[in-house]
Amino acid sequence: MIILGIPKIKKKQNLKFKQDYKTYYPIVYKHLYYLSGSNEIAEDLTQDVFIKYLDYVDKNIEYPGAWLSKVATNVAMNYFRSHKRREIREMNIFLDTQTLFMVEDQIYRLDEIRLVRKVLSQLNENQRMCLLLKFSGYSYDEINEITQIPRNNIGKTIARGKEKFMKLYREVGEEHVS
Amino acid sequence: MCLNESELQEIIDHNYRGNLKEALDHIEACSECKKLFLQLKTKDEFVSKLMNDGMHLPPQPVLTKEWDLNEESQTIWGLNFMKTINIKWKATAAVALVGLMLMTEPVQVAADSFLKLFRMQELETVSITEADIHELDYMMGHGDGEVSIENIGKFEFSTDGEEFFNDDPKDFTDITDKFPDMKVIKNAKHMNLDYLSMVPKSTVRFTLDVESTNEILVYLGSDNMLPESLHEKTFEMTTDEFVNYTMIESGKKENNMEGRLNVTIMGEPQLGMPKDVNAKDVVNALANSGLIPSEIKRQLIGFDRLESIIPIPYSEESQIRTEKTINGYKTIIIEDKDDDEAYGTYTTAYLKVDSYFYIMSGENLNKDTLIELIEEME
Repeated sequence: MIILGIPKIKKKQNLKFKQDYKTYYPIVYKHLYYLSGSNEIAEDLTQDVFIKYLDYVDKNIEYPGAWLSKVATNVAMNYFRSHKRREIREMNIFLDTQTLFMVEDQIYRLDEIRLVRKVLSQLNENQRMCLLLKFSGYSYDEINEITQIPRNNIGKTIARGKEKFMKLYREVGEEHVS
Repeated sequence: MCLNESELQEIIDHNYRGNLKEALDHIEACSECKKLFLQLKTKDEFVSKLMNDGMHLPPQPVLTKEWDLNEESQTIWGLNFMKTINIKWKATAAVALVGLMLMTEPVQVAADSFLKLFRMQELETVSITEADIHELDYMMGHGDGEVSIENIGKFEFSTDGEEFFNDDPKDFTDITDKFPDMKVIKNAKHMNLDYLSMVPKSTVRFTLDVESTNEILVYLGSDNMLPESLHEKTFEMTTDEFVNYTMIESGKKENNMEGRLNVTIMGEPQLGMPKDVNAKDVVNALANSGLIPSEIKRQLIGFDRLESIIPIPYSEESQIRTEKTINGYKTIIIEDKDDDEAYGTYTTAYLKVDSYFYIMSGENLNKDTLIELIEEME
């Protein structure tokens, strides 16, 4: 039985999904890496994003890049809401069981990643979004579609965002070291 | 002709729409433009290196049989919005639940279409728990296949103009010139204005497809249907232009994080419903339909004038709700139960002053500091 508008059986895998998967997998992965700071989390969440996309690929989404970006952000938000305390506990366990030189390397890497994310969090929302999306690989048209920032303003927002990022990184980095 | 910073950035990002060859020739020939271009490029590389530090892009997983779309799949509609407690008010009211949407969307429609227009003037909290989310999961889990918002009705969203923003404001002039009645925090100690924006007037329009919705309810095993009289009736929500601004605390706390205050100021949204629709009847129909978790139903039915209320969702399990009177105004404060210094603390205050609602979210600002800032509004 098929309820109106509720297909019980999905359509077969199609060419569009394959093409979008190939094009956007690295972009979505980077986006999620920037949000999470972890390759493992980024890889898992990227899979989740494309699983969701399976449900929509035959709905002719006009801007798949923008759609995938919004879903990626939501997926990341939901993940951190439900996992943040568990993640802290797991990280402590991880640090306890590693050998010393591996721990030092991991601490350094984690610290650097945290530092970058802290700096990003201190930018205003438009600058942060533009930098995240640009370095993920989205085009200006896609950034405009996702953020509603006028296309003519995106270049300036990115330039100013980078300037502020570097200034904050230097300031926060100096405090971090001292 | 020399290129500005924005154009040079577009060239670096391969998004330049002008004549690229001419632009590149100019950059090569003009020492000023070349210098700026190289500076921007260097910064680009520096930031990219930092952001990609530690990242290892894995080989793309091969699409296997599991990705074939022969499998039955199930999407829980609305669940992401249910689980994301900390969402903006308009998104909550617009999409979280059909019931909330219908009952709490302030709407302004052409006067000849609607008999009743409501101003949403009061704030009330609605507690949403993990149990509610599980109940919604369970209800949706009874059926197979996909339930999407498109099968319930149609949402349309439109805005009147483009967002204005200023990412380097010196003061509140942009706001106070246009909205002299809005109160802002002009003399906050240790807080500096960082950013402000104005969002244009916007409308969310929802048209319910009762026939499809009732088929879903049958599918899910419900005995109660929505009344046919609601079929293809349109409800709209309109908010006037509203304002956002961010202030940042100078100096860092012990956990090396700055305090931030984000403020949204909006006028009373308007709700209009079709003239032959009775608000209470709609609530009762939805409450009995099985579309709304039972505990949320109980809270909605308990409100006397539901059509005049803006719901503030919060999680009883992880947040604390308190109510205070600040400068004579009723203020609802929602704060996280567990202060997590590694990730920062979050506290939000909701209040209505004259004809404006104020939503003030503090990151790494404790409740007392937030209250002090509210007291300084003028």
